Amino acid sequence: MTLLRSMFRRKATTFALVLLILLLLIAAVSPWVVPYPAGALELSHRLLSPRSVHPFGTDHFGRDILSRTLIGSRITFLLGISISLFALFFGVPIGIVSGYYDRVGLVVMRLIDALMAFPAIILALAFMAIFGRPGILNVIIALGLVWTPQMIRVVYSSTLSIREAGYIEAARAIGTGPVQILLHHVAPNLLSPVIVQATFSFALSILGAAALDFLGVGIPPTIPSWGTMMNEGRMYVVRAPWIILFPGIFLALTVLSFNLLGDALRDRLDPRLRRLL
Amino acid sequence: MGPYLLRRGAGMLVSCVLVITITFLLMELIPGDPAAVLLGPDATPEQVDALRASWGLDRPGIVRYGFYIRNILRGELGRSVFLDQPVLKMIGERAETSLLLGLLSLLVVVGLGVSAGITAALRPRTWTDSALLFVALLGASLPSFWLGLMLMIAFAGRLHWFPSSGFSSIFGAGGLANLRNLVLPALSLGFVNAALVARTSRSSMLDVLQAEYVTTARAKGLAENVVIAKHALRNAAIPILTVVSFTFASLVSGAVVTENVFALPGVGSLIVQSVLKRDYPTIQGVMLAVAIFYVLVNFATDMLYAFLDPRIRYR
Amino acid sequence: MRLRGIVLVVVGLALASLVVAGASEPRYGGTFRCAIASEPGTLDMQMSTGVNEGTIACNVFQGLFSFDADFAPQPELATGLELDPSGTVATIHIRQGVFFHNGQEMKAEDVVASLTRWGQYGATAKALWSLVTAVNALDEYTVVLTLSQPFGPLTTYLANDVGGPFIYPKALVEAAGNKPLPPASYIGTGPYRFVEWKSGDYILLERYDRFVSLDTPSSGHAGKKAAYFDKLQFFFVPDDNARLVGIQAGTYDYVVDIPNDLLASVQGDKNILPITINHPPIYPIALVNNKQGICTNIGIKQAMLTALDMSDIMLAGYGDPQFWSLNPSYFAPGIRWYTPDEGVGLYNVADPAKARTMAQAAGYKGEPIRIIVAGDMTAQYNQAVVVTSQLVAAGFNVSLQVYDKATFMARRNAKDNPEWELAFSFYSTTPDPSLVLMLSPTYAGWWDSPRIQVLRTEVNQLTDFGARYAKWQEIMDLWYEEIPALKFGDAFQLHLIRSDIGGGYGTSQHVVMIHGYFYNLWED
Repeated sequence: MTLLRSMFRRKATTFALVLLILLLLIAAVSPWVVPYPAGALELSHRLLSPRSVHPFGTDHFGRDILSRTLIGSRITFLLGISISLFALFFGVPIGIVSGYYDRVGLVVMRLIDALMAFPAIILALAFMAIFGRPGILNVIIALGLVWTPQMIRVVYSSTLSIREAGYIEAARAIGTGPVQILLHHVAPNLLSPVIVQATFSFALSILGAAALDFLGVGIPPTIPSWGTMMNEGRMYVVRAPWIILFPGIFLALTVLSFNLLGDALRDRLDPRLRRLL
Repeated sequence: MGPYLLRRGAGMLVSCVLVITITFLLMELIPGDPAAVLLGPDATPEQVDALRASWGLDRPGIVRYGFYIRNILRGELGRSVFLDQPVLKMIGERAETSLLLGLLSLLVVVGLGVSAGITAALRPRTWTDSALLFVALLGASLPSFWLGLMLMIAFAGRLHWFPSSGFSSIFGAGGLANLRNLVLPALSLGFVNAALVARTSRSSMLDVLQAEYVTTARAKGLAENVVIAKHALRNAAIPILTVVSFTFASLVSGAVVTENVFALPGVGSLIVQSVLKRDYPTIQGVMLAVAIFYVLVNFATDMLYAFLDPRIRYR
Repeated sequence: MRLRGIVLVVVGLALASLVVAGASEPRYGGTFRCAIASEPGTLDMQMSTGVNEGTIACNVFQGLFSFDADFAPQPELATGLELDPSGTVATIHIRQGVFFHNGQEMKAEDVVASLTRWGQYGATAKALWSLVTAVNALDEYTVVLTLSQPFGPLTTYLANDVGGPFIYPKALVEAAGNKPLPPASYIGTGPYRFVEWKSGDYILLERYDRFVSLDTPSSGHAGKKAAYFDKLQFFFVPDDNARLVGIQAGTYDYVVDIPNDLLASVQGDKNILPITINHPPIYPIALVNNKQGICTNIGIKQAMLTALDMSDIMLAGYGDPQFWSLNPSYFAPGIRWYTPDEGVGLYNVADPAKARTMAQAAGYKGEPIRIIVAGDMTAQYNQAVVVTSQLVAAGFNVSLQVYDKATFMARRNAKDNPEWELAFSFYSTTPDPSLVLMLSPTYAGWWDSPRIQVLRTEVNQLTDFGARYAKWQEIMDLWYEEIPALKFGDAFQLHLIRSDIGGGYGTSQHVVMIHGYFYNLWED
């Protein structure tokens, strides 16, 4: 049974990896390989259905959807990576300290619980409203702030269980300072849950960013992104569904590949994590 | 049970206070101008200034915090700048829509998720298993608003099976038939969130099916469905319950966008509109209400959890 | 012989009755369901200038005068207005036996209170009220308005249905003061009364049985108003597709603001009639910051204008050419204030190379042109994208900033330090040139050159249409010399109505006005 299971895993993981590499490649080289520049307006060619000259059709400005979809992958990866890094950068240290020092942990976790009582979108909306001026940086900070509590929680729980491990007690017994313990003993064991959580939060971040763009409060619509394309194309979902269809498919595929990857990583690195994540 | 209840209860109260303070702080920092939006694009700047002054949008922050706490204790969540109605009343009017949407979505999540997960667990290693897992994962990857739009076009636009938008109270004209308006939204929201529940159900069920008491029950000669129903399911329920309550937060979040797509008059669309219009009191009131509601639901789930699994009470 | 005669008459009558039966007869009953694009801010039309608000409020409230199909003011709650020989004392006779929805009879004191409050806080009152020295009730049904000097467009201002002086009960309007009337105080004299405002969902109106209609033939908002539908219900449906799919499914009888590009989806659907709002159109205009920054340099403004291809801009904003037309003059052809032959050599030149040269000659050194627009004003956003691209092609350094509506408004109206060069918006036709917002020195754009200061006062001092028209022509000529704003063209919005609504909406029987209006319609 385990053999069959790992076979499925391998197939799915292979699929995910191939997809991911393909998407990364697209993100990297798209500006140079796409048939039309992303912002090229051609008003006499508005709302054309897919055809040889425009395989994904055109939008209401006459812009080529294929080119915009491929170039849109760039901002997706930029946002996903930045937001995950943000969550890591702030979440891991806070999580470790909270997990290691009980009193800190008590206060921090209360705060985290309170923050997580606000639905992600609402919190993101509130942050975007506070920052006022739209911009990529603001979206990164807003969504980063939204997903950091989750990371803190995961790191906190993991730190708690690591603390119980024998070698931590041993290290303390021989007088190793807390910083040393945290850096050399706790942190390395956090790698698995953190990586897995980062993968999932990447997927959630890009969905969240797309939702913000869709509601009209995300990155400036002048930058081609899948969420913005879907928001602009919303009006044409009956007349020109290709405007929404292709960015939606690409977004789903990207998120899918990260979800599959996260699954595979979690199962390989530590199946016990399934309870946690 | 008593000390556990007290501890959890105290924790809940602390969370509530924190939630209230966070809401107030967040809203204090929002820039923008509700008066201009209210009076329309053709209004003159003098009118805008007059309106802003008469609504007291320019009094100092500490004073406002004080008033805020006092009002909450009185049960007042503020008054909408635009509609001149109490925020609590507006939430009340829209609560039915959001609650029904939440419940129906939860039904979809549990219905689809648990049945898919258990089916997969009962047929491990088969194509059914792999297919269900893949569909679950695909569902979790779809943007719910995209799925919603696709469903709207197919089922409301082309086939005319369901209304495309809007919702009227089931206590008013139309009665329970009005629930038809929530079918497509609940499907789009639920399907996307069912994945996690499906996977958890599957793995939880798998774990339980391998447990000793199940093997024993089978050895005793009990019929398979009795084994599943009486022994396996009950024990598999706890992790499923955890994930379902966790999904609730995701549902509330996703509902905001779903309400936007299907023009549902719920609490989610209230907050989106309020943020766009800079209606400070309404934003504050709704955020607070939703968060407190979530804290309460969590508390209830914790109690249910402790009831189902006695071991937890001694943690 | 006689028998044959009788048979002929009977047959003739029978045939005639068949013909008459084919035409639609008004009948009472039913609920009219309209879907509008956003939830109104307030229905207090003295304070609001929103079109959504007007669509609903025109059924509930009435003014002293109202506009007929030619936008000429006709008596509504007033029976007439007399000016004394000096033109500074207006005696207004009001109708008797008109009741408010709360059962009170409308009297002069209500009119005085309503006019006074409108004068102080009303959206369109300023030009008129700055000249008012007194407003009094002479007797129960007569009001006297005293001015310091003659005011040409007096009845036009009183007839304005967007931001104009609607008549409310004295107690309620005095209590409201500078705040919009709350829903509990929506008491008017109109054919429908306000019943319910369910936040996020709908506003419900119900026929008012004591409404006394005028018996002059109906024309636009004037004349006879019959409330055939029992109820009018206005749903707030922000999503364009939801409105479209809604009317196709029969959920709504009337939907507003369908994107022009979606007309193709309903062509061929016999149940739906498109209504093109071309009488009058709306005007997409980009305001220019005339107060500070590089747009104080007229040469640069002329250069920017020269770069623009108006056809592409209108195409992007409003889709198929049947929904817009190019027009440099402020008012559209067909409106009596239209001035032909404006902006020759400046409007729709579409020459980026020439624009570049002009800019350099004017001293342009690459300073940023900041364009602000609200992302949720789709047509304006689309136009801003195209204008950005065209200006960039002419060598301008453009920064396109997209905001949500509230922030956009705040930035646009920031009179102390407006941080923009162009702000994209659109405007409905105003009934009088003096109401054109760009003429006001305090309105965003802040056009306050010495010559416009003179002209805008003069246009209101004159009372004869011919003289005022000539003065307006001078203002328009000045517009294309000083370029206080960029007008792109005239645009027609698309509404849809189900074909089983009787009353001839969109025909001469029920002419298209600035916003929808649903009295005089019935369910077939």
